[in-house]
Amino acid sequence: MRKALFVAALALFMGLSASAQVSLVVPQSQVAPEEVLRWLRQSALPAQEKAIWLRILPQAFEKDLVEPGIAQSFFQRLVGTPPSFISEITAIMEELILKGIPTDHLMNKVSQGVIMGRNWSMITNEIRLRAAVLVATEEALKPYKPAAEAKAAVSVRVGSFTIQAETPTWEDLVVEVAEAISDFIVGGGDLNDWIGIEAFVRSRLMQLRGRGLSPGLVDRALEVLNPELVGVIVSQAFQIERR
Amino acid sequence: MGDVGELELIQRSLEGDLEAWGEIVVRYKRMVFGTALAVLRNWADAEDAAQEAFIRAYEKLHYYDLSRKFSTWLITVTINVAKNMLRKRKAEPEPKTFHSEDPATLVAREELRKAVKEAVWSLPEGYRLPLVLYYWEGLSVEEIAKAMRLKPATVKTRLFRGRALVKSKLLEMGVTADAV
Amino acid sequence: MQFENWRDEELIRQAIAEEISAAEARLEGLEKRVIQAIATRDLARSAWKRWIRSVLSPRASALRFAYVLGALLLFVGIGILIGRFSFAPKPLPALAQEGTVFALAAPGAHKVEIVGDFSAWKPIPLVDPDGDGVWTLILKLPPGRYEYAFLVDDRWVGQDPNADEYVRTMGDYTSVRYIGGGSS
Repeated sequence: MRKALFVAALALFMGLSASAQVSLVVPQSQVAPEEVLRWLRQSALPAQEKAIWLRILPQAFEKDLVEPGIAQSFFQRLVGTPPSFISEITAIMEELILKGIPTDHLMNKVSQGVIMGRNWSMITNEIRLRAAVLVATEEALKPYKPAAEAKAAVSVRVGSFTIQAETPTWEDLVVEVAEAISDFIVGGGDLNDWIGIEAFVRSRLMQLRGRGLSPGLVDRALEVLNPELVGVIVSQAFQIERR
Repeated sequence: MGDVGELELIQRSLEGDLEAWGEIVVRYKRMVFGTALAVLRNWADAEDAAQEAFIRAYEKLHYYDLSRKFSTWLITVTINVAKNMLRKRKAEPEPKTFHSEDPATLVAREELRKAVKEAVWSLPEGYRLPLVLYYWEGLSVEEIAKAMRLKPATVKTRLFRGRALVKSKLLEMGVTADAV
Repeated sequence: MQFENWRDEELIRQAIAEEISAAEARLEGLEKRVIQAIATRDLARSAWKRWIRSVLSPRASALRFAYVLGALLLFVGIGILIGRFSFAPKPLPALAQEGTVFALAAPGAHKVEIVGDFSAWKPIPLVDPDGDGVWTLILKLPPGRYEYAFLVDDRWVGQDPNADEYVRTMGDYTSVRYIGGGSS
């Protein structure tokens, strides 16, 4: 009885006091692409990788494959890491960008890994895995891409670091499907459990329907998604992975 | 995480660190599985029980008295989970019986091993469990007594009788007394 | 425990070890299955329960007096608060409409921050002005799915009891919140 009263009092107290002590923050960073490039030029990144980034970044910004705010945070964390790590991560990102695939979320994953204090090989391995799944997903879903949407709405990206998710694109959908597959595998799921992976992707997409992705896009994806398609993606991704 | 102390892993688990609990599972899964198998005698059930025991132990971790030996406490939790499963399964399935066509072949070493295995695993649970805890988990009589909530003297008796039962079962099977 | 014959013991030991070792393959990945099961078992609720229970556990008996005293003080405090707000305190949901509330009970912490994909994993501090151990922050986020974690004195706390789900990445948990109504 005393315990119950104590718990009730604690909950009530927390509820009451919470209203008096919150602060409101809008985590929005407005960074111009030029600013990132300028920062990069003066950064302590190894010369070879710096040259690669300065070559591919402008078009990546232009095609909306990379969000400047995310890129800046990513570079800030990358500087100061071992050269071998920088070169491996750069190579993975370069390949994706040259293929026209968004890399925002993977840059974010790198930042996350660094702030988690993970060791470099663990971060590299997971980024490589996610990149391989992303490339395979992009290829496997290509035949189903609605023609009309094509380049009309490339201005919106995944991760929603910037606002407006009203017209998410096919690319966003591809990223979400790929990330769901990767989350399943990284989380300890069985690579060969295509039925399980498909169910996991489906439930993720249902959650995103109308929040991260438009209902139309999600419905289209749910139509074409099946365990065989997942099998195609996983098989291809892990060929790449083992390469 | 291989060199992290058990106490630290438990404290981190208490704070909700599942990674730490995963390490505990890695360290004790053989022990927990063996205990569950001693009660249930069926691999699949023992596997389920082991998983359930680790979940139950995690949920009840705040009841664990840090001054007690963790493995003994974990075995107690496992025995409870396994016995509950047994109760749900209602009647314990009939012990597998060992039929030997020709007693003479039993003298062969391989056959003898098979016979002992059969005899041990067909013992009643009350005798089988102390034997497994003693010989597989390497627990002392006192620790078994704590885990099974019995008097140490009772454990001693059960170990002794369990062994005697194995012997008499072997005789039933036609293994000569000399072979044992 | 005295046995008259060492060989008897060895045979029994072997018999037990063989049966258990033969099933070894079944134990592979058990830790992952356990963690997954625990994580999906309505952790949001049980984590709170665990925290509260740990505060009240018999092990904390030395501190019990302090807790009882604390409870009494809380009652007094609430009495004062209710008096001040004249039975109409501003409810939390009213504030939540302006943004998403992130709160974490971290008594004794010196610094609590939130990191997430919404800030490119740059830390944003939470605040606890009255020092009651409940750290809070409201973030204005557009509809979508967000991955985040708390840093309590720079230590990764990936499981927010208020999260919608958890994902495992790079060997640890990350919390997920879905913002916005969604449409199904």
